[in-house]
Amino acid sequence: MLNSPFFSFLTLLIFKQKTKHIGVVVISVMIIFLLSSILFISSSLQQTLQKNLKNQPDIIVSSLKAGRSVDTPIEWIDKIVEIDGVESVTPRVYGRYFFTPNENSFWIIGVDFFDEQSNQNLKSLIDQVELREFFSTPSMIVGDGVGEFMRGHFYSDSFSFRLPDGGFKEVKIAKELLSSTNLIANDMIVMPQELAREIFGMDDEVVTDIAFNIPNSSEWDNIITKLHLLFYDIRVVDKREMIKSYRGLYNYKGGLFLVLYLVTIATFMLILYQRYSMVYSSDRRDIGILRATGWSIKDILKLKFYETLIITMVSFVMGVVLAYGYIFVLDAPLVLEIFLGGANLANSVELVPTIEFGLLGSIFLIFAIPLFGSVLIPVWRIATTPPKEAML
Amino acid sequence: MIEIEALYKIFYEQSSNPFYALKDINLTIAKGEAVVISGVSGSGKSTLLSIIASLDRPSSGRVIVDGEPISKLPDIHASAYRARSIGFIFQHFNLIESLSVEENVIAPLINSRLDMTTIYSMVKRSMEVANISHKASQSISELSGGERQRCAIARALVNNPNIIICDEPTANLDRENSILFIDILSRLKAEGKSIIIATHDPLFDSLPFESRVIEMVDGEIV
Amino acid sequence: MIREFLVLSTLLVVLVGAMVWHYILYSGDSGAIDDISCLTTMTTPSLSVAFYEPRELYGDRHEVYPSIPTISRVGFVYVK
Repeated sequence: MLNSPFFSFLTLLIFKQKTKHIGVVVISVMIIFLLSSILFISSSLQQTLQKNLKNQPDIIVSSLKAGRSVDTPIEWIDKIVEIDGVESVTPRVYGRYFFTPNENSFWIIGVDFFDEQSNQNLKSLIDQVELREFFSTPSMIVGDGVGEFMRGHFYSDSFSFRLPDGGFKEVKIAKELLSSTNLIANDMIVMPQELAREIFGMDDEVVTDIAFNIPNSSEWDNIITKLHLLFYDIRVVDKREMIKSYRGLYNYKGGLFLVLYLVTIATFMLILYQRYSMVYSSDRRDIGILRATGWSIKDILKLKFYETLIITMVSFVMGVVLAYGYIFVLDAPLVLEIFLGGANLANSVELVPTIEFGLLGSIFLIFAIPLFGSVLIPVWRIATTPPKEAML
Repeated sequence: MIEIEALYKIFYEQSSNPFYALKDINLTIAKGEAVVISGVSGSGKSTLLSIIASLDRPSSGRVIVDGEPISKLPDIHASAYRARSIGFIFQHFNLIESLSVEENVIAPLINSRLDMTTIYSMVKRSMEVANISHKASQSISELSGGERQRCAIARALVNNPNIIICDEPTANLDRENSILFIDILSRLKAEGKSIIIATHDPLFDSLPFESRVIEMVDGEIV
Repeated sequence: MIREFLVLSTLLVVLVGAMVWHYILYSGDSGAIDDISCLTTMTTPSLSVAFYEPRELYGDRHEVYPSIPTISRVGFVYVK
């Protein structure tokens, strides 16, 4: 193949007319780069979240009043435990604490550290800190974003929470979580459940919600029905809804990005089509000259097909590789904020490299097919024109 | 041998005002013969040459080259005929500006199924005949009019065609280069090639080789 | 120009190779995120959205926090 006259001529035309091709390649690389970047970020975030879902309880129930979430009575636990097929019933205490009204907030999670599993997890998270000290004074573990915020506001060792009764509660910062937890824990504060109750002014008879597992997934709907029969004012969220919402969370298929991509690609293809169709374009003339020297329509189409294929492949590979480097090596500066938000605490997440070949293939086809069409259709029209007309 | 029988070329055939570019052309050109077709602009000279070279199709009539009818060939055969038998030299040279002299000369042989070594030797020979070898690697945009013409000649000769067709070959050349061009034609004629020239350059009234002059007026041979 | 083409192809192959190499050898620390989500039973992403952002306001459920009802326009006015 490397010795083939056709291949030599093909590469000759591509490199001799590189100024013409560079424009197409640059724009194509930009389009592919943008789309692949979005794809990589969304895939990576989705994959991490989906993988993490194994720690999500199967069912979460909470109380509603007039359609709004209110504290859940703790006595519901007894009734839920009695339902066959239910296990690991856990009351949860958590909520959002606003540092300043309608502005920065933290997500406080109260944990029962005397639970065996919780204890084990705690030990692996704060293995360097004396556990006794953690329990002897009011202490908390803060996420990376919370820690940074607090340092910025000169709270380096402890923070005083304002209580609902107007008082203050000073809580020591025992540990700052690793930045690798930022995807879920950037704005998180983990503290003993009693402390969380105190900060939110919740008494012992209520919790925020109740979580439990149902090992037999075919029993889920049955048990949900039983729950609705047991309690009128109940809201039940099951893991299936979480999975569905995560799938849609960064779904590139919908939304602004796809619209932008389609508009961009349509504009680009139109420009290309115009360029090849122009009466006095050099491409038109060159095709006419080749036809006049004995090239058939098939030969011309073959030349332009391979030329476009090389440009497409080069653009695609460069776009994807650049996107990969930008997202997974540089951790997507600027763009990540679009996905994670920047209104509350700024978040920086280390994205796990994820490549979905099916989606990359789709991007290639969505990009390549219009590109081939916008090049080959005018080329075919010019090639079927009498060469003398094309050479004008 | 080229035989043209009852050739018509009509433009805007379906409209109310069709234009007859060629009317009932009957012509025979023997093998190795040189024919000069003279006439004013619009007389149909270029159209006739295009049809002989299979660059265009007639509305009716036949063109037979060496016993093979070429006027209604499908594109793939018409292209093969052009690549094999025709060397066309255009008035405006029609070279690919982004390529060099050698690269332009190579173009007709790309689909010839010859290997690169053979192709390069044919290109070298052709450039030598056209006296443009010394500019082989130079870009077309850097050449003078005469040099471009010689590059076009080299390209036309590279596939060793039997028929050389020239459409106003000296229209963009000065006298000196025109004479040089005629000199090259003499050598080609001596090799036994059929030469057809459409021109209204008076230099072609007295060619140094035997030739026939045909006059065309309003699409007809007079 | 075949040489230039080969250079370009080699460059692309190297880029793809570097990408694949990074992908295969990447060893992120997923242990800590697993521990925290196991400890808290919270797996929702930490989205830094303001309460007035469209992600929070519209739709019949929170995309991210399905256990929390969305803030309705009326509710928002009352809160204000």
